[in-house]
Amino acid sequence: MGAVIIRPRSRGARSFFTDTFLLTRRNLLLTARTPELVVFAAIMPIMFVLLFRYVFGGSIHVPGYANYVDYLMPGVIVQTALFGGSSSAVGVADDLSKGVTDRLRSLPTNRSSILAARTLADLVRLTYTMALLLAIGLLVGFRFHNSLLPVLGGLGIALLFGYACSWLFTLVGLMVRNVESATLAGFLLTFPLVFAASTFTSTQYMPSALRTFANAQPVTQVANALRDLTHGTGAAGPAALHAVVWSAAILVASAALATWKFRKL
Amino acid sequence: MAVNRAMIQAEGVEKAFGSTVALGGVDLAVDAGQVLAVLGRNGAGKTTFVRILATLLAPDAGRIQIAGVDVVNDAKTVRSLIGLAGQFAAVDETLSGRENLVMVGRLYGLPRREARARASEVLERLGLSDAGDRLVRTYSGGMRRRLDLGASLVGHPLVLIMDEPSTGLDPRSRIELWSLIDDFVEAGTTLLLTTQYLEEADRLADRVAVIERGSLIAEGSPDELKQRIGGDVLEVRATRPADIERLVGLLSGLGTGQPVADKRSQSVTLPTSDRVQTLLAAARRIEESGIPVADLGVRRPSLDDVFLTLTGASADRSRPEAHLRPVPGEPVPAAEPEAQRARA
Repeated sequence: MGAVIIRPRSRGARSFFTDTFLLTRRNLLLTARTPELVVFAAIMPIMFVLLFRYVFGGSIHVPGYANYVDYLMPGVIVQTALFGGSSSAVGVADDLSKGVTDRLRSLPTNRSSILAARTLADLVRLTYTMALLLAIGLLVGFRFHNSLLPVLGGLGIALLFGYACSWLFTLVGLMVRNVESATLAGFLLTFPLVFAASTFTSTQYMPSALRTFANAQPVTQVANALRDLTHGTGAAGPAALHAVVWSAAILVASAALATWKFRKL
Repeated sequence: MAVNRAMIQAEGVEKAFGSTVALGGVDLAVDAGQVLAVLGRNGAGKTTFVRILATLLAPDAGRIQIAGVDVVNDAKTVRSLIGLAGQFAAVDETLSGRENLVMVGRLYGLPRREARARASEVLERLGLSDAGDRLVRTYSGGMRRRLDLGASLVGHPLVLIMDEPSTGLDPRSRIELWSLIDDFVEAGTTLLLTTQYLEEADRLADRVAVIERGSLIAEGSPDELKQRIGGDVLEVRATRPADIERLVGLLSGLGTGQPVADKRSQSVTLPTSDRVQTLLAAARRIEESGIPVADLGVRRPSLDDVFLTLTGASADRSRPEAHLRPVPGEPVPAAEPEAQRARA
């Protein structure tokens, strides 16, 4: 038999959006139907809010903040952005080890959609968790002390940082390729970034080497930027600029490397 | 397009990972509507070949075409022509069977309505209609495999590629899967599957390609292949390990090839084309020699026999670790002192 029918599928740029939408929905459905994931993602940051607001908060005083909760909430939001991104490493590794990635790559799918959908789903989840966190924050006394626009700008920076982290951890997932290592790598990367930072308290009483690291690294920059913009201090000072530059740099570098790594799988 | 063009045409396909050569120049051709089984042990290069064929991995050298389309230069077209069922059931546990198939259909580029219709059709064909709306995590292993196979059928592939389809399935699910595969083949799908089981290749394939250490060592119909092995295999299991060498000497010249000793199972195998004659002759010689044996019989050739015959008896010593792994319950080390006692 020689009459082979090749059915060309006219799928141009449209396929990128369709495929990204389909795969984003798939990623979100997987989360939504695993209740323990949804609950865990929400409970972790809430525990941190309650712990630092009521257990440690009384003994922490940060200059410039009459209420510690106004200092705390931006920190927890940035921590959540980082942790949220680290779940990408696990998701990517899980799909790789279960053969799902192979299946998707063997389909006439737009391959860029696979990673785009992964990070986009993270962004949707992060937006949900952040909204939940803000609601809890308002309940325990957190208030915005600035006008709407800077506040939205601050939250936007936090989301941008979270999105950049998703790409970073997507890259990690592609490199380690199994769920256990991805979980460990996520923990090892996020822990120092979150705690050697201005997340829960000012860096000024830290030993000098630690302080230098803490002041330089992105979590401090993003948390400070969010504080500046929600509290009305510093009036969108250098922290906001540093935070945006850091996030954009992480985003561009990670996305480029992850895409390159994904092509070579 | 030439009339005699094969549906799958591979020429000189090479792939190395670092210094490890996974494929050392493989040539293969599968005609439209044919079933080719790529038979080989773990690590022989089967999966690497499949991954290159399915556009998941680029070859270092050589050329593969599917329906005349190059898998490297025109990967995207190739992807719309193939269906891949990998070694794992690559389906989402927290989606229903139907949702899994609709998503794959949409990713093939089918409009929503068509993808839904196709999903129902495939579920029906796989006997999963009733379970279609249940979440996959409630499925049995066999059902997952069937659904995974279904996902590879959604896009009406010209060529179906299956990597060890029955690995990890219980015997009943395996037979169900085989009869499903029969249906696809009857419908005219070209199929390339990899397997470790000669029985599976025998059952499903028109042609078998035996691959070992990245090279094709034999190709032909299952019958031709068995002919090369000599039909059947006579196997003698010694009671005492010390007798193995004597049994080899005793049996040489009886079958269609040289007897081969396997120290692990304390047995000697011999290819034969005339089972009755060889069995009688062997029994007579063993009885005359007085060597005690635990078992004597003729059986159908196994994959190990294929390799032993095709790679020569020397393969016995250099056989990969998979074969030398001690089988639990078989007292290999304990057999030594026992043999000493018996001699004393």
